[in-house]
Amino acid sequence: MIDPGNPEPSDGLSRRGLFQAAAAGAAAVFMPTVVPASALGRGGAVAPSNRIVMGHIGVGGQGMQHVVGGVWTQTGGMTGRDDVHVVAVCDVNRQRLENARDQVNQRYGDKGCSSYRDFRSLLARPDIDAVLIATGERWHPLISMYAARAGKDIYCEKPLSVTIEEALAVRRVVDRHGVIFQMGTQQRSSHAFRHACELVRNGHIGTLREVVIGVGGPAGYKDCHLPEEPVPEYLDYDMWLGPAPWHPYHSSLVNGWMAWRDFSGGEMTNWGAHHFDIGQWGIGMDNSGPVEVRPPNGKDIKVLTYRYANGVLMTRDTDRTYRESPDGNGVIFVGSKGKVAVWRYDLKTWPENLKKHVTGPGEVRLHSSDNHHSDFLDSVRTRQQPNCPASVGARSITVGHLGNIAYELNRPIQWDPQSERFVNDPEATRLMSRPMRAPWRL
Amino acid sequence: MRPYALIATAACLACGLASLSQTNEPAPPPPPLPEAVAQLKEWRFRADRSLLDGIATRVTESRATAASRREAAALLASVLRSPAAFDAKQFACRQLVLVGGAAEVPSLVPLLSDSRLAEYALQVLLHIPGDASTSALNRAAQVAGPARLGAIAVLGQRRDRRALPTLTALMSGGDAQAVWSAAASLAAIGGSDACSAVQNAYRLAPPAWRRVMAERLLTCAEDCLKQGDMGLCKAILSRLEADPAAAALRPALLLFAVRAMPETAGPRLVAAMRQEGSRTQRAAAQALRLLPGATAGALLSAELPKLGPNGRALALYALAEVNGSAATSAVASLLRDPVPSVRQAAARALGAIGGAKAVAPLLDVAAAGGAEAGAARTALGSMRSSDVEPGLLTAMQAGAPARRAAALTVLGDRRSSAVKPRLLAAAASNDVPVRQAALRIMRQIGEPSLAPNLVSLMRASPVGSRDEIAATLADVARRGQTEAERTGTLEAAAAVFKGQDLVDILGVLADVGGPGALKVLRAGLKDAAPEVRRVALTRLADWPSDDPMSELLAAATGAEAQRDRTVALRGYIRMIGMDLSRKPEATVQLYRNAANLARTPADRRMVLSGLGGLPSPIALGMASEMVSDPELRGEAELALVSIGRATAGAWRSETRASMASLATSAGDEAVKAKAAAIVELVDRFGDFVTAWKVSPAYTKEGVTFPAIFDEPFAPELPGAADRVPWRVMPAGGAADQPWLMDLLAVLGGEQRVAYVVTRVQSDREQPLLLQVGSDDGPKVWWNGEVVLSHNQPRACAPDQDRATVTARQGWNTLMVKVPQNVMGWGVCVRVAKPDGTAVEGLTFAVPE
Repeated sequence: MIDPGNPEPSDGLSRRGLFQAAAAGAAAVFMPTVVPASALGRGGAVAPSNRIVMGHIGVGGQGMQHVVGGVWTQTGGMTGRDDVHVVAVCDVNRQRLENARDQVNQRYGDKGCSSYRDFRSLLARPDIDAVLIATGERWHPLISMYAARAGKDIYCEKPLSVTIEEALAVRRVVDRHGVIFQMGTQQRSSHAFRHACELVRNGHIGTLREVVIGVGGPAGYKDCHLPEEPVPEYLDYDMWLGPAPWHPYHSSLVNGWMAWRDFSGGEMTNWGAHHFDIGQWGIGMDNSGPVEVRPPNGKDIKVLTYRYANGVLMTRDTDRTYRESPDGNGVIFVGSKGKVAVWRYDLKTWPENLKKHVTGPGEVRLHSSDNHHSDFLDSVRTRQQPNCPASVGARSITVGHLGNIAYELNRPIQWDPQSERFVNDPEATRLMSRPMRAPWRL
Repeated sequence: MRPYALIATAACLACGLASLSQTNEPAPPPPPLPEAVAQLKEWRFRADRSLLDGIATRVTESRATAASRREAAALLASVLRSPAAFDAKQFACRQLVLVGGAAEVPSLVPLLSDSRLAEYALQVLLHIPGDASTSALNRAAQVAGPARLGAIAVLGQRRDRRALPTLTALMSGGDAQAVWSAAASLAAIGGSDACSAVQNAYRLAPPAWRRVMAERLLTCAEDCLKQGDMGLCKAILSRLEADPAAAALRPALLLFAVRAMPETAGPRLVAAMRQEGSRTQRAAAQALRLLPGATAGALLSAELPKLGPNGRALALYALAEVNGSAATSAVASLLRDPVPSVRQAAARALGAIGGAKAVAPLLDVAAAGGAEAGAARTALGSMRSSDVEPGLLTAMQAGAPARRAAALTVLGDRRSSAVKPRLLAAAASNDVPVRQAALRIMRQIGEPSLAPNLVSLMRASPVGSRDEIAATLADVARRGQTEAERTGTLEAAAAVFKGQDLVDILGVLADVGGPGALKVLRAGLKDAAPEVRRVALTRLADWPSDDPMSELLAAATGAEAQRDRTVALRGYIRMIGMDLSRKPEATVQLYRNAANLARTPADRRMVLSGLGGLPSPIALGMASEMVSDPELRGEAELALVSIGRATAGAWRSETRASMASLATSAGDEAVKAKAAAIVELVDRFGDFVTAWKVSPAYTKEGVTFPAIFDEPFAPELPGAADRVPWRVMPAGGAADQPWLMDLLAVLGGEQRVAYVVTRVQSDREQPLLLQVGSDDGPKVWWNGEVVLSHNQPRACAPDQDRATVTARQGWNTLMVKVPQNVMGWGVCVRVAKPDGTAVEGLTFAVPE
């Protein structure tokens, strides 16, 4: 019997631990009967005992970039690293699953990669140290929580959740079980974004007044209106839906869920997961958030505006970010003495030479990483927090959700970042949470 | 218009062909709610969704007053009581989430026994306060049915203490799912009564159930801690720690114990740290970080050497984070640990807790090399104390060269301003490690102002040992903001240098690039010294653009030495393919000329390599001719396959014929298989149009999807359209969708548009049906007129939109604009008779 609230985690020694225990002369209680050749120190660069054994859950477009590399992940992906051994993949789409398994096996030159349709089976493997979750965001909270309960360290793609309550639940469970959690907001591992935030945090643009965010808006449709199509034989549609509200299958829904509010917060949480996150990093609000959110009203408030307790305003204004760079999606910090604007491929400062400033030994230095995968894996080894743990990821995605709620209610909302509740606002509170489709529950 | 409204408008426009480019006209106001709700009762998914958007608008307006809200809720509830389909009722529930109240509960209750609608009813009930909804949820929780588990979960989400009796009673039942879910909800509600209920149920449960319920009981313990009920908190903790069925929870229990009782956590933590390689040990390493640094340091000072290697490393990382300076001497001793990963961790920890006194031992480690040298360098680079940098500056002046070099490297890592004035002197040092370190730092942070001194340094260095200085000079020069800053110093040097000095400067100029460098290299071809002419020619052959083609052609035919002619010819061949705007016939002719100049098979193979990148039937022809040369056969066959992949969609019959021949005649089995796969691909194209050219991707500042749909770009602008750099669209990128023109694979990116264009020849005037699938929704032009406009986010599938057009006899033009929001991006088109049956007498061709 499968409990939708709990996996069947196996305690005791991970595969990594087992190798170490055996090496140290301790009693070895488990040895795999078949050890893939690739597990035995391919190339000899990293000893098997130091290699982190991983499973990938969700191996579609973005998921495969994590497996084999891509423009938004790291060259070569996890299978291109000597310090990782990918032993399992999981997807509800059989075609994608088989493709992923075959590509992993091709990389390693063996048949050692197992494939799973149900993530709970993958999580039940005691030899897996860590998982990379790249499903749709409707699944991110639940799979993260299952993985945490199973003792797996977690790299989870953004966005973290579809509601605020889900994000807070992930943070709580990750914290409880003491697993490493890295949010897939890889801009935190970009020198340009870190440099921009350090310039702001160290006062080089004077007193911070405003943060301008360039991201798209909420999901286009609140509800899905697509008619039913036959479910392809290769897709387990019930598991694809998971905890999201039931809707008849339609290919456009499955291939473009981001357009529908049941499945996504739209660009507010897609790109917003990146840029609101950078905004919070620059303001120094990683463990807090805004106190008020105002949607545009056609009068004095032209664009979505967040207000922080320290008086800083954060606005969603793509016109202004595009004005400074064709990249558009980016962040501009406006201070009393200057500005810093940062995009994926560009960093501008006013004054211009501020860009060349090197953070001094006495200045605020933010968590330094130039590779998001490496930062996560380093945390797995050292148990230090990565640069975007669940506590930060939950706060950042909350900013996007708050914006969506302000848009939907079309009026200002007050938020208490301490209690993480709306202030005397039962109507807004209704949009903080939703039930999951049974048998799933938070 | 506010962004959300903008998107909502786009959604309204997504309803079908009737919405052709009407974006400038104001939308009519939605009907009054009673009228709209009456229509909703008949609504189905396939119908126009503007009705839904209108209702949503009216419901939003209704929230202005309590009375209008109640009225709206009542109307929506009437849909739930009607025979309306799922399609309408789920929508009504969504609207009720914000406006539903106790009065709507009776209308929601019947939905709880509907397998599809139960969850939608629960979405509303979750947020309706009061007895009516609680009673409804309690009842649903007690009976087996589609809403049972959901209702139990919602009772927990509501934190409604009135649900305690129901949830407590459920835990004595035999339905495991219900028991576990009820326990979770009780734990979420919290309080001593709820916790006691869970504890009792846990005590009575079989071991298999306790494994699951342990997590719920831990939630209760956390609640007790929050409420200050330490007695119950400790009792629960003891029970869980002693229960083998809760073994999986031990890491969490350890963390909880440290949080709840930090003053007595020491022995627990030490015991856990000794469990080498376990999850519990990892949790202990994290729990150490919850203690004050002094406590953690004191705890580990004596324990560190006794731990296993994994435990030692994890403890060191924890000490680094909490500043456990009490353990400094124990940490320093682990710099000599037999396990490399422990030595690395010790270096990191010592850097964090050791202060200025740690500089010397860490520099020793950094200078000694090995796996931990990097960790020591990183540690030194991040040490904050103000007396660290003076110590490093002193260390770089004296001592063993490796140690001085390490100090210098760390100062560079720290971007020390004090080290900059000393770099040039260090770069001139006779000690190789010091010199190399100085040059490495210059490559990282050197300004263009260093160029003159580096030129002098390079000239003063012995020939044969200048490479690293040259590379440094190029890196420094590239940082110039202007052309003059980048190459001014180098050009001035080239004007006066002779012989080997000039050779070296030309190499640096070529690495930096730019018009000034190109000019100097061209001049170098006429230099009196043969070694200068040779290096100029070699670097021009590697030039990143095709600017020096004419010089290379001249050298390929006229250079004295065969070696120079070969270098020039290879550079020339490489550059032939760079100009994508040249007509294929002209490009093939250039390849033919190059093949005639080639004196070796290797050079002719280069011609084939370039030819393989040219998507044209003429290229197919030339490669086919070269197959007959035994020395070139392998490369010619590979070139054919490469060309065939690119031409399969645009020139189906030519490609198919060529590949079919190759599939039987190729000398290599792999080539045969690839050629056969292309034949199969062509056969699977079916009636989809595959002869396309594609534009570049277009973006515009401040304009994103869906607004970018109506933004005109060059292909639709008179006067600009003929300057669009169209290129042949490769077809068949996705194996399972051979009909898909995969724009994401060809152009990539988000928030942009692209156009594809084809020509359609009809043997007579006739009506045609265009059937278009696209991701996202398309705008379609037929002979310059917009015939289809459907701005909608979606994935691509065949025949999503249809438009009837009239083909004139002769050539017609079909152009499709495809916007890209996020994720997939592609298009597929087929053409039929207006009744959808196959049409004859049509030919498709890529535009000239």
